[in-house]
Amino acid sequence: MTVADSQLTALIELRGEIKEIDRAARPSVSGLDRPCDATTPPDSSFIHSYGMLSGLSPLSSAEQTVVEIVASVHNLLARLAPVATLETSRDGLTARTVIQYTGRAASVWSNSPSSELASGLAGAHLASVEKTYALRTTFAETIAAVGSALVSIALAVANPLTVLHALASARALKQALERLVAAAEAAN
Amino acid sequence: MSGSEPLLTFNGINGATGRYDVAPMTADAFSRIVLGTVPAKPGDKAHLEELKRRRQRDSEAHYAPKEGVDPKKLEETGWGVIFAFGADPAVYEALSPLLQLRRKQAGERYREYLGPDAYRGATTDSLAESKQDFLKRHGAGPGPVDPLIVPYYLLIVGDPESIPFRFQYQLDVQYAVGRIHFESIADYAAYAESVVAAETGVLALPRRAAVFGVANNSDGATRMSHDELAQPLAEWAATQPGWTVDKIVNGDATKARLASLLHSDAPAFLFTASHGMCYNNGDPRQLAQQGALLCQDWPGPSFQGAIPDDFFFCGEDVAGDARIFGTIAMHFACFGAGTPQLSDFSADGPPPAIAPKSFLGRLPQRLLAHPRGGALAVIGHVERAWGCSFHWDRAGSQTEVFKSTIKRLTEGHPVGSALEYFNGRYAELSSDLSSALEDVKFGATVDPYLLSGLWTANNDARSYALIGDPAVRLMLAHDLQPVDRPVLEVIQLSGAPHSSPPPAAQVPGPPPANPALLDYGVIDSVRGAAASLQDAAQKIGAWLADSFQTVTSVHVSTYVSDNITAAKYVDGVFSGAELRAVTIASLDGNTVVCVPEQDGKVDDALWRINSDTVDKAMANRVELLKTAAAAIACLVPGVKAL
Repeated sequence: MTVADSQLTALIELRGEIKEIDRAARPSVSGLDRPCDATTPPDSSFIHSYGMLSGLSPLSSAEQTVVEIVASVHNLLARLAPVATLETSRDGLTARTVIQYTGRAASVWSNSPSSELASGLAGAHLASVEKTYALRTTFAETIAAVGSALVSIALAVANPLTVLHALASARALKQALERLVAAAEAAN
Repeated sequence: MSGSEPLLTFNGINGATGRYDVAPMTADAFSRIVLGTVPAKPGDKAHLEELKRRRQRDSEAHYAPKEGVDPKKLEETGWGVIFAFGADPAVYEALSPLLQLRRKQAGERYREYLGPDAYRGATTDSLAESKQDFLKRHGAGPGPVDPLIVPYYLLIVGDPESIPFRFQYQLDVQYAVGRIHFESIADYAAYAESVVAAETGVLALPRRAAVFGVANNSDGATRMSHDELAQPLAEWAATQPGWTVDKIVNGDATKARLASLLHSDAPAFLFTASHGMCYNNGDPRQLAQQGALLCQDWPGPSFQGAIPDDFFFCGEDVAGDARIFGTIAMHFACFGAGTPQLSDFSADGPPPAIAPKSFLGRLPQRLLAHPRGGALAVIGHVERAWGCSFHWDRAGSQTEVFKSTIKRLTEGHPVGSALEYFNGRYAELSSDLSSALEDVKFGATVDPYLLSGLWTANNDARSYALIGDPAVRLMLAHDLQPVDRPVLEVIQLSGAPHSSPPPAAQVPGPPPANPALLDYGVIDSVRGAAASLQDAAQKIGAWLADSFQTVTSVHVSTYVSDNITAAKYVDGVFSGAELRAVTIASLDGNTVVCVPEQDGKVDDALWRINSDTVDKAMANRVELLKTAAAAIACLVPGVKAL
């Protein structure tokens, strides 16, 4: 597995965790959804990873958690480079592609004396391009999931009936965000 | 029906009418009611199976925790607290001293069922969680308790609307279960402080018990409870080594006497037997007075009209300077522990509502939450109390379950463990009743008296409920030199009464600020947190919206160069390289393509590279647009129609 592959796998996993946090924290329009589907109880390790109420005062650390979440979001958005540059070299030939979130992609290729050599380079480079796109898409989806989870937690935290649960979700999101920032940094 | 057939009379006096709450009826009529109560609710069958297993276990002389676990040792039995989903965090805060103590005592067998682990009440889409569902979710099945999975002592925190009585009954068959619910956060804090103070060395009560037995004139029910329960218990208790017993019987069991007993220096263990007050559904006195103890002051059934306050002892009658710290009380009285919304006693059709909602009795609440040091636990009845608790057809007085329970209490068992005898009796009776009902189902004729007796005894045994922490115990002086009962400092917590949170399913959205949170001064920080989170979410929404705006076209350019290191990328364009192919695809479908040529022909190799890049870029655009469209609607106000 290449570095890009493992990055993508880790990011997909993280996206799943954040969606789960969102789902667990989400109040419904008609009322309050249960934290988990009754027929598919949450994996206990997921719950335990919340570190829920390990302290005696769940509210006392709430502000700090939120401050850290907001800082992580800012950090994350700042670290998402608007462009991704990838370069592949093979048999003395090089291809470089710059991809922007705006939808632009520009590639420059070494003039090749042989179509065979060019073909080998093209295969390798285009595979990298594909992975880069997949990574960026997954980043976007993960960030959207973070936004959705933030909305869910914000609604739940304002509700005395769900505030404890929301704060547990906030702590879980904070940890996930820290990993997401690290992933964004590694991807740049 | 024969006019000479004897009538069954039932406990409970209606405060509004002064009459028996349930009119006397023949055994035959009553047995027809019983036959209409064959278990039909979801979970009843499984519950009956559990009762049978429990019965089997008891007959093999095993107790609720698995073999080898000493019910007196919390480090072996474990201890857990069950909150309802959406529990008020201020309640958790208020109980923190108690939770901290139990965590220390139970060690790794301490559990908090809170947040996603909390009890799940009924919603618009689903029934309230049963005991089986709850245990299954936490890795436990039927059979003896394994405290490493779910602790033996379980404290339910919440009103019976959020966590139904039914769940408590069911769980209690296997575990030692108690419940607390108070009207104010200060009351939770007061109770927690009482338990912690009692168990951390300040309390050493004398071995003194009191038996308060009412026998109202011409009233068969209290005459029987007086003669066959209170008196025998008082006599038996007096024979227990080291114990002194105040026998408040034979007409002495007045309201003034009970008030005086609690005011001067309440006994370590108080037992009362009397009618409990009942009111019609919705009566304004019901919440405050239902289950109050009707004392000797009631002249009996000859009395006409509403029952005056002077006849009964209710929560409001517990004086502010009462000395009840550390007492454990047991009330044999209708509704003494609480009232379900729906009656167990249905003549035909669905069970009628007997209260606007299920609630705990105000008297036990007041006793437990007394600000100068409260009682540690109150054992009482939910629904009506029945004579078959202590009287069996043709066998007469049967008080062994009571005696065994009290004996265990005096020997230092936590109250939840002491009550196992009642749970065992419930299992035995349920098993017998289900067998009798099965016989009827298959055509057998069953003595209506037997059936009526089994049914009432079953409901009666089931309905003993513990109000308080099941792990509390009598804190007695060991050397017969008790210290003076201390008075705890009054806990100063201002604020409006805390009303119980409604079931989650009924909450249409974020409710207004909870006064309980205001009391704790946390509402501002919670509001601030919510606002900060919303703000962060909107920033993400803006970022995605920007992506959405700019990703509307795909623009792929392909260059070649003899010296690629010299090629520089600036503003989407490579300089120092030759542009050979371009594809621009707009969202509206317009596409511009520049095809590379070499020697007058299309440069296939380069065109393929460009085309492949375009394919990947297009696929990415589709995914990105889908993501943005789904997310922006909920993250950016006003951007909903994508």
